[in-house]
Amino acid sequence: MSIEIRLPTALRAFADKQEKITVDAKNVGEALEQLFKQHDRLKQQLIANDGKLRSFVNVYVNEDDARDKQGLATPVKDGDTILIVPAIAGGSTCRN
Amino acid sequence: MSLTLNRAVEAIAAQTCEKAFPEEGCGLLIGPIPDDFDKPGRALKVDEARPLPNGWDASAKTNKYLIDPKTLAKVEAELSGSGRGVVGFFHSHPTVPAWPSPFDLTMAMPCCSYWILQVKDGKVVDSRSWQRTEDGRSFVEEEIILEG
Repeated sequence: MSIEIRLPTALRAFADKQEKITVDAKNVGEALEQLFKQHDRLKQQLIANDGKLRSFVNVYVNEDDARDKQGLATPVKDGDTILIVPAIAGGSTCRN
Repeated sequence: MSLTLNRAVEAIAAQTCEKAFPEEGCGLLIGPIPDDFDKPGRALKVDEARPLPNGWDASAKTNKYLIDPKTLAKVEAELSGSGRGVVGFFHSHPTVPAWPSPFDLTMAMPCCSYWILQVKDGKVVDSRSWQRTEDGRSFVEEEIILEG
């Protein structure tokens, strides 16, 4: 299945400046593994030490949040688009 | 390492944060994506500040901000292929200094500028900009250059 993964501006520097990357995968987890095989610096940015996606990383399949479906097991089909979108948050709470 | 802003960008961010006081204001910083975006010494030039609603519940907005991911995805799609992108974010710290909090660090993306505006009594009194290190362990302050 040919899947297009779209990266936010902040992460393209870790993927040879590419905005869109095509991978062959049957589900979200496979697609991300393919992505990381091509661009291992991205893995460091997106995956925490416990092997799970970092808390600020959102993954959408087309318009749908993968967490609302089957997470990394969410199936994808030919022509689907996976969006990686950071949750942008922070604030003055618990200042250093 | 620097963040260059024009007066219009500065004014929009300041007005957004002053209007939001005593809650936190926030928004996107948009500009050309530099070739050395991921390098510690990179120089960013922002030509647009786009204010966005603070997505937290009312009770949390005084010390936290949240930008809706779907809104961010729409802006990224709008800028697709243009050579411009969301290269940073601004938000305010009502009353407290413009230094990043541990929560700011936990949620920070690499490469981007995090411009923090300190607002006291409804007025911006200081601002500082920061870039997260690639290993995610700290922020480094960058110079803010105002032009125009």
